Amino acid sequence: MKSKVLLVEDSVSARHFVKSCLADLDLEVIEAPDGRQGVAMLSEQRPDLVLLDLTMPVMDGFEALPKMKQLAPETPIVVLTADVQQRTVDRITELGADLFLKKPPKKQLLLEAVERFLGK
Amino acid sequence: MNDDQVLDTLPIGLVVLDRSYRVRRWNHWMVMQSGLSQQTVLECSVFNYYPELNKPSFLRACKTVFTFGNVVYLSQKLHRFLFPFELPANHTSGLTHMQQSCTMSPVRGDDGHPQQVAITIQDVTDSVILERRLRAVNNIDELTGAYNRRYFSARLREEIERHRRYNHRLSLVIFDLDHFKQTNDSIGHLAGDHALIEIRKLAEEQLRDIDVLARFGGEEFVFLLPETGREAARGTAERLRSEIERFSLTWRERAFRVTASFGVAELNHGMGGETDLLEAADQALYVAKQKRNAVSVAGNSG
Amino acid sequence: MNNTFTALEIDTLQEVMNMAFGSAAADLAEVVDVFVQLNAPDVQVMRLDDLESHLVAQIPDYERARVVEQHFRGESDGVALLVFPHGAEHQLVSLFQSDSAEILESDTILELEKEILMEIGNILIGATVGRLFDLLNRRIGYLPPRTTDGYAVAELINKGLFAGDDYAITVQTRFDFEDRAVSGRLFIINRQQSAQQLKSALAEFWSSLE
Repeated sequence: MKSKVLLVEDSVSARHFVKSCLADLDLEVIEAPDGRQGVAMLSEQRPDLVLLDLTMPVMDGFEALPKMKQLAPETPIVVLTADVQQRTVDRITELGADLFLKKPPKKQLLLEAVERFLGK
Repeated sequence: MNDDQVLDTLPIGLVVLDRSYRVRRWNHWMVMQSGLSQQTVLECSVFNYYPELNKPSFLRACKTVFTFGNVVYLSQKLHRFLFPFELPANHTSGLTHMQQSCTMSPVRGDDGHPQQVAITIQDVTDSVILERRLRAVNNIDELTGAYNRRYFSARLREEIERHRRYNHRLSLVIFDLDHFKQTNDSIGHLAGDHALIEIRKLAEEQLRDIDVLARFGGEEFVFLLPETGREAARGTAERLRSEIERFSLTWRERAFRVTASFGVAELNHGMGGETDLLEAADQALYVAKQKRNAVSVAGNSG
Repeated sequence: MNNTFTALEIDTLQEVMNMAFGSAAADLAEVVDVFVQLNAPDVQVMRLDDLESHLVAQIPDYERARVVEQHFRGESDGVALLVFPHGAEHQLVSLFQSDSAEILESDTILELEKEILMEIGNILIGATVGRLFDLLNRRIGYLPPRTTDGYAVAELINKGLFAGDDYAITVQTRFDFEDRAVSGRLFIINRQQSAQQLKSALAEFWSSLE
């Protein structure tokens, strides 16, 4: 079975970038444009890893994160954020994020993080 | 050709600091102003020689340059000066230090990140003195030395805004010399001028530093009392009224007396702005004028 | 010259702006030593002709709004306008208190508040606009900032340096400093001649990360 990665990100171009980075990895990438749809897809499709943006319309990452952790406590969540103030990092850690990556992520760092959580 | 030699010709100060605030450049102008040679300060922390710089505004400016790579402007208006260079004791301006306008710009390393900050220091003392003189000419009534109406109006607008914001009290008093035309006619206009000058001095004695006194028109003065309610304002007006009444003026060996009438008003929520406050005081003055040598407060019946 | 932006270009611009503002928040917190929340910016591209009516609609008491105006030149060319509602500077002043702001009798306090606003504006514009062009790999330099009001901005738009078909990228965000909600809006007006520059920078952006 291919590993499944849920990418929750409002920007089409950012999603495109992440997908192109992951293209070499033989993964299935499913996409949601906001937190609400991301939460729904998590419960329906049970991905192996979530890549979560913080600033999104409808439902942002801060709100989606605890809901996702409640639905699927075992699924690792990697938060992508440009805001790396200590207070923001503390908050997402408290909400259950397994890792955060500074945006924009370099391709190499993104791949390393994904491989680490998928045990590849 | 040597860069240092070229930089030494600049009629401004140039100091370069690294991220640890160590001096990497100190041009000729700085040597002359500070009395510290380039060899003395080079590689030393600038705070060794100028501990005054170790303050939040300067540290913040440095951080801004290093973090964002943008240019920071330290205006003379806000900061006065960066390097405390004392002016000669015989300087007549009343200023103790050279006034400076400074810029702080990033010097980037090969990686494109700011590694050093270049500080320019421009001596703007002369223009500050000129600006102050012009400001004084523009704001002061020539005859009496009180502020003029133009300045008063500007201050009134500002003070009203400030007092509304902090919900503080603000009062305004207009006063007017009684029978001034008769004084002018019987003793002469120069005597009248003399009276106005003396009255202004009496008024200043009754007022605090934060109060603003202006000559509003011919024989009419006005003063603004921040942080003051109308009862306290009435007290101030009453003391001044009685001082004026008791004061004996002399002109060309001729003694004479004047009296004044006062209208007091306090800013309240029903007022739209400066015009309403002035109008209220003016109406109170009109009431006082019916009696002369009296104080009347707006909003107090009778 | 085609100066309209494709949907994908605008999407990238929005994303780069998000990132610029996110990291600007982190940097600002370091510089001013307070927690800064920069809300996700809303990016729109519009003809300059339409900007004024947009500003009037968005900003209460527009003509009296306090504006810090800072022009930039280099690999992109334009002006950044940081607009605060009338009176907002008072809220900001206490956060950015200057240790040397002693008041001389010849200066009115309002004048000093203007100076402080200018310093704050310089920092905020440097942080946000600077980060934006950093991410886009374009070098720009700034002219000194100045403070004006909404009225002066209207003048700048109407008969100033820009042509009606120059475009403005409007970026709206709210700056929250600790518990003080200060609504500030940032507008970036680019000269038409640098439209192509910006488009190519956007095109290169994602591949620069690979």
